[in-house]
Amino acid sequence: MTGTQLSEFTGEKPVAKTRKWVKPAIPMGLIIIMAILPIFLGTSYMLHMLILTFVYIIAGVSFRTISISGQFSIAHAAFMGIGAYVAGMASKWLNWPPWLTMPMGAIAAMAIGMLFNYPFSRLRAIYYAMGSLFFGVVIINVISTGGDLTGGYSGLAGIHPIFIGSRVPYYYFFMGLALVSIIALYRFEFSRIGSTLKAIAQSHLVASSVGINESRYRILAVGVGSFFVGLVGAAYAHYNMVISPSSFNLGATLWICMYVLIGGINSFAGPIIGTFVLMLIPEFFRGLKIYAPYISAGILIIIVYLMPQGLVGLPELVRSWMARRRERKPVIHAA
Amino acid sequence: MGLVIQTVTNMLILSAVFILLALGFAFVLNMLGIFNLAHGAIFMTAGYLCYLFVERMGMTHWLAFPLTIILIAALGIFLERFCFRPFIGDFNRQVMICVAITVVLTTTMNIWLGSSNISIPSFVTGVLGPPPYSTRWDRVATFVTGAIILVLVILFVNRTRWGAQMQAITQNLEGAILQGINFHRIAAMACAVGCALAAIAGILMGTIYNLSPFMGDVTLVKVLMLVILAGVGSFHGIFIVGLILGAAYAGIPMVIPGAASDVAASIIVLIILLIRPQGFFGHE
Repeated sequence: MTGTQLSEFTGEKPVAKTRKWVKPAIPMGLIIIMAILPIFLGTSYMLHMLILTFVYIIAGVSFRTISISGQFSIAHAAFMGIGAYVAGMASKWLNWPPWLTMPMGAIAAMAIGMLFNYPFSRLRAIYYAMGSLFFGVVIINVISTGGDLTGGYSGLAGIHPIFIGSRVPYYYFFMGLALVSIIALYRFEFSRIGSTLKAIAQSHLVASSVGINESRYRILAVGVGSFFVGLVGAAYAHYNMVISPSSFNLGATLWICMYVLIGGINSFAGPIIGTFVLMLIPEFFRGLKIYAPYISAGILIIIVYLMPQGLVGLPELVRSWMARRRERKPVIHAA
Repeated sequence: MGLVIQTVTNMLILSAVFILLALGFAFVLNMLGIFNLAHGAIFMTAGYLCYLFVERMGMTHWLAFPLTIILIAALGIFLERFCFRPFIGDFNRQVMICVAITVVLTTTMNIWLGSSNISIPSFVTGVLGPPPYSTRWDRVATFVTGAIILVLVILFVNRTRWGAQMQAITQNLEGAILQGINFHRIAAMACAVGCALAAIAGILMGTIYNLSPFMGDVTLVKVLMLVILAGVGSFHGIFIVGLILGAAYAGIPMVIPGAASDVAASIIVLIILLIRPQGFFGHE
């Protein structure tokens, strides 16, 4: 009551007041739904898919963190592989507990990412993309030739699990990990550093002219992005207990890019929405078996032709379409 | 001695195939500015189509080869009109559409023709030369075909009207359009030629090695390597770097076994990219 009276007094529209709590209510509602979902999902296969969705959400969001600095890094799955293999090898050969190996994997991915970007931050646009692509190829080839230490092409088996038994604790663990990563990367993007990165992406010349150390900030962006993707890679290694180089190759990187681009690379929510859509919708057509990749390709084609901004731009698109229809209506009546 | 001859033949064949693929990739890249990540899939599709015509439909080689090349060139024109033209200058959507094309082609070929132990029957048989220095005729024929096609491509780019128009567009798009060059027609032609070159490479590879639906992925990385090393926008660079890369891929496995040769090659490429980002023959 007081709210409406106050708004009348100040001349502020009450609609704006209601929207203020609507905006955080959507993610809160989603979190609550996701939290009670395991009660209804008896089949552990669906839980497995949701866990993988969380894994790729973190990968997608951290990919976007790198991309806001104008760097299209085609080595993201390879950084995930670094985290996974460091954690997996420490767990298998040294018997270290998961709570130690997971931060280790994350830090290893971050260190290698920053070391890679130290010389490569002077390359721009497509040359940086190609440099990172070859870097990813190098990492995958090194892992594949590692012999017994990394398991070679057939993969590394025998990594110790975090939880024994059911998948439900894993579900909450990955959900928590995704939430923490999303909040951390959100704070990072909308901090002063995030704005600096966006300034570099818009024009590196202008950014340098106002005293921004371009390469230092680009190295920082890659460090933060590969830290989180290394962390989730390490967690994935402990969840799956078997990792193989083919999960982290060029194709895997391109699929992470697809999750981000489908949702919309210009919006923070883009990777989250895109991963949900592209991971879970093909699952409804699992009965088609070998024809299932067509569903993913179909989603890609629909979005690339109809929604230039990705799925995030869909409400805007519908609104403008409705407005055009409303405008056209009287014309049709007159005719 | 036999080993040396074997290595040299491998090197020449690999070089010819890489150069054919990279030239096709560079045609699309120079005309439209599109990194055609579906190039590997098109290469794979050509091999599969040729296998379909020869093995399943029982056509003769001399009918199947031109038919495959024409079909893939038509696919190139289709791709230019509906998949590349709407997205010129939009890198993100180019990547998306290329991945979509790759998924569609790979899945189709995997379901339709399978992946187990498939190869195009070689069109010539027998052995050339006395035993210690002998090479198989099909390898020689592959190399000779590749070399003839490459010469034709050079003549096409340098001596024909269309080639001149393509070079003009590569050098200066606005200027070329002001001179009355129909950009879209030349771009469609370049895509058709590019895909036809990929088709020839696919047929040549398919007659020597086994086909697999995923062979495009591995090849794509090598093609990207070649194009980047040669420098974006350079035609003659592709020939020289292609020969070097072919020699490297035929020679390094003799010294370093297995996938370690891939590691060595990619690290060398990374270092070259760091020292000279615009490639050996690029200018920017």
